[in-house]
Amino acid sequence: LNLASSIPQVLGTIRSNIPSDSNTKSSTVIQLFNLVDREDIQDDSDYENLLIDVKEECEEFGEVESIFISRPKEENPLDIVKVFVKFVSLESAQRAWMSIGGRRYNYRTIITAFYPEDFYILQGQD
Amino acid sequence: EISADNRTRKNKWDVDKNPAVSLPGIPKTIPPGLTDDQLSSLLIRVRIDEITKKLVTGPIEYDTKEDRSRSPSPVYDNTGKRTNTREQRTRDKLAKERHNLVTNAQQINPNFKPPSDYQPIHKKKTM
Repeated sequence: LNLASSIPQVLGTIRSNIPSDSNTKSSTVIQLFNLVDREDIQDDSDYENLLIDVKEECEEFGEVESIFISRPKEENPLDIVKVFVKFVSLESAQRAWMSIGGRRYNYRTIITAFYPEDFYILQGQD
Repeated sequence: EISADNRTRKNKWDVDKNPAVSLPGIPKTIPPGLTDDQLSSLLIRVRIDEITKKLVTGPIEYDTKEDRSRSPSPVYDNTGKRTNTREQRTRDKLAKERHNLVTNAQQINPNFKPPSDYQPIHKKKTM
């Protein structure tokens, strides 16, 4: 898999939103990708089990403030499952970002990214 | 509040904290400079490649012992071979997931070339 060639191969033309370095810029919020397929979290119990698994794993790196898992809409092909984790400390988030990337969950390879705190608005507190 | 007491199945994290690279080229962290759409496209592509490797060269991995869901009744083909083993069901599920991802990739980019072993899934003919 070649990064430079695989992106245009899927995307075709570059869309209008602006490239940024927010994926690599340190933040207390990280994103975890490729944990589940859309269809794997349709069921509320599966969704909750995923939350518990993510919480337990992330707490190894420090106190977790909140977790949000997006549930994609069927009609948008670009809408993928994103898991957001907000840590209390920046250092925990940095360690989790480094360490969880490349780990495996349910036989899938996990990829991580940072996410800007300003954009992370928790939709409804638990 | 999320509590482990609500857990209805075992934790799915791999106990191996440093697994061997399953597919060369998969980044551990998302590289800088990607738009949201590029990021989604990259992840769709990564998962398609990950599934393709499982289907073409294997191994097809699945839970072997504890806490797995109950198996359906065995189904056999006309030569007496069982057709719904756990491995076969895992393979079918991966093929279906990849089919959906390839469909998405083709919606995003009509020129997207599916993996060479990929065949579109057609509705099964009923006997």
